[in-house]
Amino acid sequence: MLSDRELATRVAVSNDPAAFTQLVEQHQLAIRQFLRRLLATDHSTADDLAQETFLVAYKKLHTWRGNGKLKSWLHSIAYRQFLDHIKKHSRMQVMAEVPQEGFDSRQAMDAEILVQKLLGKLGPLDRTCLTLAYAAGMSHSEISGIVELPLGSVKSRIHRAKLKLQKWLEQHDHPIQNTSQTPVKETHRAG
Amino acid sequence: MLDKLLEYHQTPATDRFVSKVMEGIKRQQRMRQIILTAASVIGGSFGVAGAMLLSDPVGQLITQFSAGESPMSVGLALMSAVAFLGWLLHDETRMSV
Repeated sequence: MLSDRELATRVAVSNDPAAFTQLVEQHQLAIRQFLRRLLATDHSTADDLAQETFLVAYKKLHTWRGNGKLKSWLHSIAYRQFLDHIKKHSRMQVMAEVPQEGFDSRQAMDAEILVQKLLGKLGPLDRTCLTLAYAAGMSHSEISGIVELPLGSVKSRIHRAKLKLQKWLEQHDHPIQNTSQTPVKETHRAG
Repeated sequence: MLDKLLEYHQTPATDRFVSKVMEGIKRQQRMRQIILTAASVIGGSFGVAGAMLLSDPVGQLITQFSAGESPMSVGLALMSAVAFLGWLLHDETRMSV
């Protein structure tokens, strides 16, 4: 199996569509989940932005420096798409959408609804930092590169956002332990 | 506990997404091809029109030059032109390899 760097070189040098298809297949899930989590309101808009992210990536792939992770680079493009979208739709409200049934278990759907409700309490930047840290599993320095903020600011934002959410859960006496202790069973897997 | 909750819980279906992205890329390339072709046609037509307008004065200039100058000067001018073109084409060849 070829690495991201090898696939990206094939696309940039010989414009190989099969190599780009492979890159999209490998990274689409992370980008779509990230944008769905940020947007929360509209899954089809999130998917449209994810498509746009890959179209931009295809055009600019030659500018990607192979020393960083392609995943981080794609997330930074997706984040720009998200910012452009909320700039255009400044009155957009983040409201939890009921996830589509049929693909995920009941627990997963409940957890997703609760997360979207929680993230709705945060601003776009805090939502992004928290999602990248806890859902995308990125390091603080990677997040700092994506959101273009100093490392210290990223750390303090994540810390403050987490405290805010914990406080909200305590105030509303939410049975979070029941949700989080049950392992999330996904009935549908990509690929 | 919150850490666990913040993880992704949903797995979107992949079936149509990848093909939609690749269709979008094809559409972009087709659009780029159309724009390039249109620009080439417009540029070419202006070039032909300009060449037609200049053909008489340029022809006269060459005739006068070759009649008035010695064969050595004409040869030198031709060699310079060939050398310039050689340099230009050699550079192009290297870039396309």
